[in-house]
Amino acid sequence: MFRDRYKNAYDTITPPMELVSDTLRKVQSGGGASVRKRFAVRMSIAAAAAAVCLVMAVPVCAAHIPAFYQIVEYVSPAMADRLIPIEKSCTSQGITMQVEAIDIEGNEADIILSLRDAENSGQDLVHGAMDLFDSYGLSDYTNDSVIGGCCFLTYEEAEDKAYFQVMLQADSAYQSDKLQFRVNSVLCGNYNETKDVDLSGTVYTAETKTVTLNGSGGPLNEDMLPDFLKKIPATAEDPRPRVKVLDLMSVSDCAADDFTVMGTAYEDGVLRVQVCMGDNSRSDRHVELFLRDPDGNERYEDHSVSWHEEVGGARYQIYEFWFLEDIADIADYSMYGIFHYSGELVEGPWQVTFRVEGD
Amino acid sequence: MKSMHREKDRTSFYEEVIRRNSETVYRLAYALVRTRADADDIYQEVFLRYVRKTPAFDSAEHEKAWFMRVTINCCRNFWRSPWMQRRSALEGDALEREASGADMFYEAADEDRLLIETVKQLPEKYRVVIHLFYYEDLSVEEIGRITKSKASTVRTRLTRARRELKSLLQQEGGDFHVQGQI
Repeated sequence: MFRDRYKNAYDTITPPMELVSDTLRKVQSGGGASVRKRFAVRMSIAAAAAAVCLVMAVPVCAAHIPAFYQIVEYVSPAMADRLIPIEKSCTSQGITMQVEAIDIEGNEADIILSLRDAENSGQDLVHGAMDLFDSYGLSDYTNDSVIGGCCFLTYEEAEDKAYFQVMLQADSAYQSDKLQFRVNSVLCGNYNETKDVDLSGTVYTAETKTVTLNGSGGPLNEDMLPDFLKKIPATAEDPRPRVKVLDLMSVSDCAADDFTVMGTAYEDGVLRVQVCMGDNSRSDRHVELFLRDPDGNERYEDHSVSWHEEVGGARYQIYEFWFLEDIADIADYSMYGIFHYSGELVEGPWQVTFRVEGD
Repeated sequence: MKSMHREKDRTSFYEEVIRRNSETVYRLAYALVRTRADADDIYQEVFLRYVRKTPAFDSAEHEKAWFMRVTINCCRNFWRSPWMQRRSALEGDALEREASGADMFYEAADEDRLLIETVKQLPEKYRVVIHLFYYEDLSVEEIGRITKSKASTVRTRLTRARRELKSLLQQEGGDFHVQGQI
């Protein structure tokens, strides 16, 4: 019986003794800091520690612990243990990119890198959140990364450096004796705006159209989606993934340099929200949507898809977000989005060649 | 001296409450997040919240329901955090790998491990109802009160969860029969 099997399986899950002891210790000492806030605390402690290291000539700093280690240590201690320092840099367009460290194994690599305004450049491009514009790669001259992901870690004011973690994967194992990491362009001066998304115009039946996707993802795997949201099987003529999306508004009516909510529809248990990012060829506008239910619970979408459409020679990017939710009355729900705007696009390129000698 | 005694009494009281709800919180957290490290964080957060708020409970059931409710909330906040979203996108495969084998700190038989990891493939809202229904033996109405959902919503989620779980277990080669009277 499933219930018995499930119980037997979970009976083996118990909190480790050291976790219980540690929790009790924290309780005895008055509750301590919130674990949820620990990340923010981690980052500020890291920044503070880095600042102290830069200005104080104390023995521990004489050992030269790079600031990025302290940042990574607080973000992911396990990763910090595996990193091999590189500290090689390249300057272009008044910005210095430095490959701080790498963790490489087989065909996968994690790179910690920093960007800062070059000395005497007289400019202030690096002063907060930035984006690598999906324009990075790692090669060993025979093998190039094919998949990548990038995470802005923090802007460290004392050093005037923006730190990133880049994860890369190639088709075959990297040869670590000579590697080249490159970034082609960066977006400076990014900022966010939180705005409501109006659900009052939600329609209950909508025309659809078939589009060719350039991206999809979300917490819910595709095989868990209702059939009408699943990708159309590829054919020999068109092997690219295609899906049916809402056809509510012409893309030519959308703003080129801003977000446009193209419409919302609720059908067969799925709330669909379509948003146009405009022409993203020199920017990286993107949005995180939050659906708020009648009890005030908020959540991200279950899945999203994205595609491009041509408008007068420009390529507009459109996203459709899918929320699988049993909604009795849409008026009981609300939505807001964190709209991420990007600033100035600076084209490098920045390129660093190095050897990994940590083994 | 008097205040020291009071402090000691209060600490003992907290310890008792923590030990009483320790396994419930940890198992539920582990069912809703992917790795041991994440479950550890949620576990501590729940009890630290308890100490900060020190709510008064009418009964043992009330106390247990409060801890389950707060654990679910902490897990939801955890998944909603932009940091976690970015981390999921970046480390999705690694987290899956971690959750599916290397992180197995408990002495689970292969069959149990398969079951736990298969349930973890379900969306969070389904994992909540599965765990509360099958492990905690709560009724649909009780789950509704804890998750602040209508009983009909819980019933729908449970039905869908079973259907998806059955399909997943069949794909994994399991021979479980997911049934239960709602």
